[in-house]
Amino acid sequence: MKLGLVVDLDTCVGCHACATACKQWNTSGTIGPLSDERPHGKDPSGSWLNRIHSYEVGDSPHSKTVNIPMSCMHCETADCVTVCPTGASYKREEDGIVLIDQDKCMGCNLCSWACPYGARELDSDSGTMKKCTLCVDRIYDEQLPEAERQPACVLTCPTSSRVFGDFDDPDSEVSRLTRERAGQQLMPELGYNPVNTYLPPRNPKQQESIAVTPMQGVKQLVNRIINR
Amino acid sequence: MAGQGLYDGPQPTEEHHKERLKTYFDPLPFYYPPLEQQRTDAKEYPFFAVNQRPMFMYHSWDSQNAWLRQIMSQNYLYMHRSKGEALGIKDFGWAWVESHNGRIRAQVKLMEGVNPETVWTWNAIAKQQGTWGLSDDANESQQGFLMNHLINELLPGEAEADGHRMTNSDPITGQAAWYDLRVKITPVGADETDLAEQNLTWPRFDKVKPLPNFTPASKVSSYSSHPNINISRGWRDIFSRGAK
Repeated sequence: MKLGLVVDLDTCVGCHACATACKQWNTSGTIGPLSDERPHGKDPSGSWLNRIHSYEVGDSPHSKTVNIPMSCMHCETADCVTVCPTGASYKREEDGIVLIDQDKCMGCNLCSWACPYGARELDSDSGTMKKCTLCVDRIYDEQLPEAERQPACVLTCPTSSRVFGDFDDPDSEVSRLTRERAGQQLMPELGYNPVNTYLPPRNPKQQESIAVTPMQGVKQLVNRIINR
Repeated sequence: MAGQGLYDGPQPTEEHHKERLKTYFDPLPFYYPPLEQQRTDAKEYPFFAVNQRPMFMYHSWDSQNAWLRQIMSQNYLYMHRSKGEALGIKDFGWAWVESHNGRIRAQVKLMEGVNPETVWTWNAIAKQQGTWGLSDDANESQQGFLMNHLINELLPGEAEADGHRMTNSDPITGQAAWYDLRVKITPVGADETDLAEQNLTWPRFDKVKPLPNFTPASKVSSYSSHPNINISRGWRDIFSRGAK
């Protein structure tokens, strides 16, 4: 199995629902708590396993806002795992999920330097590294109804921009979407071979203004009839 | 019909109320310029100003909390790049925003995807110092701003003959007409008297006195329903670090 996410950049509206749902679930998850610094002070910050970046592409009037949610890509060549000196960081054989053993992590930051996607965040309170677990504590939980055995971000997304599944299965929805809509890896040139793919936003078509043919004759006729 | 006196039920007694009913309760939709804009000089106030609730605050009724304020603890006045540059306002520069009702000082963010005649912001981010359990230097009270100071609940201009002033709301629904606002924008200049205040929002208010037994928020918050549980790992997994 090669579990991962597909994110549709065409329909993502940047509402941050996935980020807050993620924090809510995972602060009590296998990796939690996700602590916050200066939560009520100046320039608050904290650990988030999923963040949304918004950009404007192009110049007005042909500009477009693109929102890119970024979480762990669960790379096939995960350098964050290779560099870990304590063996806390590991990639699971059975499903490819990259996890951090909180008991072994010493917070040395090497993995966050190795990660080009900014997926790893050092929790300043626990002193350990936190990252997306693909909600490993949801997706295998047989006490949950089957439809809910999905990552919290996928379940909450109001525009269904996030899809979870097995990339090894060519018939899975994630494989189909990636195939049919030209799903892209982010920064594939770096060679990490990320599992998650992003569906590109539509090309903004140059909207031609529709020439309105004045139907003067008809309009005047109708007006005359009405006014009579 | 009540406005025309052709209806048996309750009828308005004042002339201008009758007039308002007759004019706007038309069974067919028709266009008229928004009431506030009819009484505002478009040359003096060239921009439309609107505000919008942030998407991530819809399910919390605009309330600020420790997580949501990490997504946004300060709002900006978004305006079109061409207009900002023409006025000499830089990205993240500060500007005065003035309406017929008052003025505010706000930090500007230039962008492409906005109508050039319109400026906008996220509403309900700014908080008064001392409220919401925030520290005194929190971004919400130092940089955040509200458009409320620009909007009057009454229409500008002359009062009616009987001394009443007309409400600034939609004549049919009574909805407050926040989106009819027009403003003028000027960069915060070198002639400002207090330089230290240039990068702060205005108007500023006294700090709200804390409630009895108020305890200031902690520097770090870390909550979970249970301690973290590590997934059980086989020895092979540990030694191979999961490599296939």
